[in-house]
Amino acid sequence: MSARLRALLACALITALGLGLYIPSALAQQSRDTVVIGMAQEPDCLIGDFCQMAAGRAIEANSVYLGMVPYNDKWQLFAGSVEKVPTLKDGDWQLLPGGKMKVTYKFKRNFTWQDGRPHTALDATWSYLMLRNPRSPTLSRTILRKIDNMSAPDPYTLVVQWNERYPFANTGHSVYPRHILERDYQRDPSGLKASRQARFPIGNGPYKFVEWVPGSHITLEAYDKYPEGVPKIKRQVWRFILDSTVLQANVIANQVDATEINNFSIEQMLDIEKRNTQQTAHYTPALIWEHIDLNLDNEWLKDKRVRQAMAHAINREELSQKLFYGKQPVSHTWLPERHEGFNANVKKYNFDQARARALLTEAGFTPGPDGILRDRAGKRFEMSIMTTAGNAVREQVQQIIKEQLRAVGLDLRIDNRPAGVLFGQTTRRREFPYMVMYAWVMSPLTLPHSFWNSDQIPTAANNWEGSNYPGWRNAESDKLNNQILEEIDTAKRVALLKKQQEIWAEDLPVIPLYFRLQLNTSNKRIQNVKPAGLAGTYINWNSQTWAWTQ
Amino acid sequence: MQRFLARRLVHGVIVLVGLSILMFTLLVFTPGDPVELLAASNPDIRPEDVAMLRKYYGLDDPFYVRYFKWMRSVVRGDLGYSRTYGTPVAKIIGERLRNTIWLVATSVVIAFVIGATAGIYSALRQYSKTDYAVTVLAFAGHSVPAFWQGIVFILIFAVWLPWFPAGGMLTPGVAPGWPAFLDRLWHLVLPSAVLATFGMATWARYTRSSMLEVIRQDYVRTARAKGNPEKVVINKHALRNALIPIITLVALSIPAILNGAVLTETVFSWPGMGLLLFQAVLGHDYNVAMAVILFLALMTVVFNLLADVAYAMADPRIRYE
Repeated sequence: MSARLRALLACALITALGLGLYIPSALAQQSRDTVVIGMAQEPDCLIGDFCQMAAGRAIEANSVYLGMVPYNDKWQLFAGSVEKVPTLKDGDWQLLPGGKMKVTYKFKRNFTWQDGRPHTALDATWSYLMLRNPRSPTLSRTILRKIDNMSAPDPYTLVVQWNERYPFANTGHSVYPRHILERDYQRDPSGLKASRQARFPIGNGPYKFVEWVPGSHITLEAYDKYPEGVPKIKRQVWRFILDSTVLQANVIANQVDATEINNFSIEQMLDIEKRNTQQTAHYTPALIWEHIDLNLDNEWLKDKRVRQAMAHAINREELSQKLFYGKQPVSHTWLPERHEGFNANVKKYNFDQARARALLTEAGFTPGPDGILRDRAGKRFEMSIMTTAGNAVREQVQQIIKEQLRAVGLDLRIDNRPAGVLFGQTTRRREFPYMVMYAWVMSPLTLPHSFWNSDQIPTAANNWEGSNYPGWRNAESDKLNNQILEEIDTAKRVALLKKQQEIWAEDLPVIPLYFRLQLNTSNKRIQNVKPAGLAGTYINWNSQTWAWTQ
Repeated sequence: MQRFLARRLVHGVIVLVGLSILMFTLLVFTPGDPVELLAASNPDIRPEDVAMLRKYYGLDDPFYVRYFKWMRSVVRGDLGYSRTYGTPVAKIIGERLRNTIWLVATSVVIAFVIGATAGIYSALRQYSKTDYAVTVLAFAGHSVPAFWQGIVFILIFAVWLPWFPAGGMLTPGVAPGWPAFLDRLWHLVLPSAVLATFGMATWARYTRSSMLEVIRQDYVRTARAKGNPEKVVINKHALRNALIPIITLVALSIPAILNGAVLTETVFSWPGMGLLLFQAVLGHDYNVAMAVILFLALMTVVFNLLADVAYAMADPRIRYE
């Protein structure tokens, strides 16, 4: 090798070494002021009512804005930008004749928008009208339609007039800065998603928006006039790392301090715990219910005994132990244990192959020469199961279920679809002939009506409205669902929910599998990280109280 | 030459229009309507909301009407709005294009310098251990999938040996000026190394072949016979002629590298056009996806043309009519 080439290589090596030493040490100085949160999603916008991506809501709803009545990690409502949560007992939530209601909120007087302008009930009334306008890009107006009008008798009092009973009428409403959005709204309501506020929001929360580098990150800085206390950590950086394996590598390498919306599996979480003892893996029970919808129009599945037999044939406890190390509890009903309406005393379908075979015999099935059952007409007992293609965990679950059902004489064929197809058409238009496996992400506000009422079965006639994909019809459940929809008293509503679950568990329109956990990570040296396990209440719900320990 | 250029331009336009029809049709008929997906995630959504959203996003027209509207606006210079981000597509692409140029340009330079140097060295020492080593590494470089290589690099150089960042383009909060420039370079090392691998392997092999052919020519033997130092024989006589086909190859490879950047940018979360295309296709953001695909197709057409022109300029024996 020539001397000149050797000298060139030596220079390159020294430069690389220098860079390698300089940059990490320079960056280490910044980290105490900053928390880096990794996400496997990039927001589409930062106005929650227009955002499709959960990533947008995670940043704007919990850091840039403080809602009127948010949820905490115990799934309790607390007063955010209002003085108290309205209740029937205190009289600020009133039931009126004709099924109407009135709810009154008092806004905290010390809140401002981050540009210093007052944050008042007038912003709330304007936001309601803006969101209600059919030309605004509001994703859902379902709750807005239940409201007759909102008014502000004074700047810090909001009165909401409801035109029907709604059990969650005291959970607040979206409030946006009128003084910023109004001009864009007047010019063109349909263009609001492209407004400056959607990309560079000014909120009322503990963190101010600083920058959005598309494809890379969003930076927020502590709002120094935040009335509930200036955040201890000066800066939040939300990094978008779309691939969960790469995000996992970043966590292991301590290049992100926390994660939210990470698409991690339990195996990845256990791997993180093993490889990096500086990170905490949070496994938070959530309202995510993994289950198998059964098409009750099918000749076999319309028989309750067949459905119950299938539930007995699947060893869900073993599934949970083998695939999820026992961390994801088996579900026997459609609500998880943490939900106020959870009923622990519903009929349970424990693993019992003998019972499964007995039920199938009762239903008229007889063994065939190949070990697969035949029905009364001699038809072979075979079905297909669909789920999201490429989801490794679900595909493993399918394999286990296939083997377990084969043992009782049911031949299962796997027939998966990409998520876009499965959720776009297959479920919504009930195009699954037998079984489809997926998860519902629910909230404390979820009511059974849209999932289990017979008028919520999507058909061409009703323009595919409703989420009762199995097509379950039960008059008693319908009656309870309608009562629950309007029952304001929590204790009464809980009693109705428990009764509905008993009927549901007996009829079993769906095979419940397990409840999924919300999986987050955070650096052990960050104090006060308390994931909530609720969609809409992300890891940063209390990030103004986070602090780095030494 | 002018007639040749004119003909090639017309061909290029036909290719672009044909490709736009094909890609638009494929995107539109890809299962998973974005509004249906939105509706599926919200059990309380009503049909009238769904209808309103379809109208808002222009999804209620037949696909050929949508294509015609899109083409008409593109011809007028308007690439439309991103359904996901609600911002003009041109603005989004502009932001990302710069990042992709950084990555691709660095990769091309690395690939060319290392690949060509290795090829030349290998040719001059044919059948030596170095030659065999370069050949084996070149085959390995061709065979290794970029996605896998990227994840392995992250594992080795960011996790086990924390020398480089595990993705991203810059460290948030770094001071502007030189620190930001150096930080950008630091982030560029791993993704450009991955993206350059295939190019290095290709150009090493081609340079070796081209060099071997040239050094056996009579004029090279004559140059040696005249008493020129070996360095002059190689650099002045052999190398220039050996590099003529390589120039063409470089021009033809750049569109391939641009397309290959999709995987690399995804693995390293490098916010470029490739990652944008990946996100747009997954999110059914038709305007963005079409704009990026058209851009990549345009680059392929342009660089093909440039390759032909450069070849004609470098080699006076080549004439186009």
